[in-house]
Amino acid sequence: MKERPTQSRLLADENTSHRLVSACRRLVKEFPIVHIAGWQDGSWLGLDDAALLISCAQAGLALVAFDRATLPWHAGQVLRAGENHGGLVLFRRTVRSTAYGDQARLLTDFWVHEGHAWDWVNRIVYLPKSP
Amino acid sequence: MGTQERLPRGAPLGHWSDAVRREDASDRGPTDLMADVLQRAEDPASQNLDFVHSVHKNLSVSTAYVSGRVPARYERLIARQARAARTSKSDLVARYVIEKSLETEFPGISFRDSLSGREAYLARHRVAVWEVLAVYEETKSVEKTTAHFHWSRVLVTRALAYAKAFPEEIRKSREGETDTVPVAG
Repeated sequence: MKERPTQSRLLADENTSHRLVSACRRLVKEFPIVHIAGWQDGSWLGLDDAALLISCAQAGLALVAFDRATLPWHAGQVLRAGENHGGLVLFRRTVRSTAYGDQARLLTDFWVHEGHAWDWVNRIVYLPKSP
Repeated sequence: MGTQERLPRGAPLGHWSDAVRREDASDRGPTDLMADVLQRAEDPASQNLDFVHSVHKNLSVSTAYVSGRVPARYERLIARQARAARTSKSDLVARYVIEKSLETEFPGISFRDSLSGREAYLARHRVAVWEVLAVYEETKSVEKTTAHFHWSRVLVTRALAYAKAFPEEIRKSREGETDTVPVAG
């Protein structure tokens, strides 16, 4: 019987590494994340923040990225313009860019225990979460 | 004030009007090649250089005058864009001149708005130059940085070359993006 591909629900932004995606899948089989370079043949790489956030909402994807102030600000702009964004999962600045294992553990733990059941539209979460 | 501090970081349009001086024919002079300007910028004896020649000095910044004629429809287009951006036409033209000259000098680098002002990033990608530099500082290796982004090496070296040429601009971009309080927890 042919295995059905897992439907992606998380889109890793380009400032994250492909190694994050690989690490997540090592921890959780079929973890529903895809890197933006591999999504839609990479055609979303050229999108600016606002366009990407709106596109994510339309595709039912929450965006996973490192926190940079402009991204949540653009999410607010999208809302004020009457559009929706698909949700943001942002790694706090304490998380190193190359700490793929730490990133994967934070993301998979959060997703498995909480995130998978949430309505992600217009929601922003920072990892690690506040105590 | 060094050359770095006079880059068109700009803040969202219209916040860098001090980087542009209004027309004054007495300040006109020949323009320099960008490569010459950049080379001289590294010379400590050349502290008053800017990206265009014909130096005008005031209390805060050295600027220069450039001019050129364009078909009328482009003047109308720029005027419309300046209104939309709530800035002056001359400020917008100055920004276009500076950024386009830098894009030509550093192929693959482009500029976009960010909370901290105009920000250098990799064209056709979503990654800012300061983000490439941040990964490079962690990995201390061009190869490992290349592997991190899954890019060709040239993209990384271009970003690092720009960061090396304009360290102060990149530092400010990075601080502007990372020194703020998250909007939610």
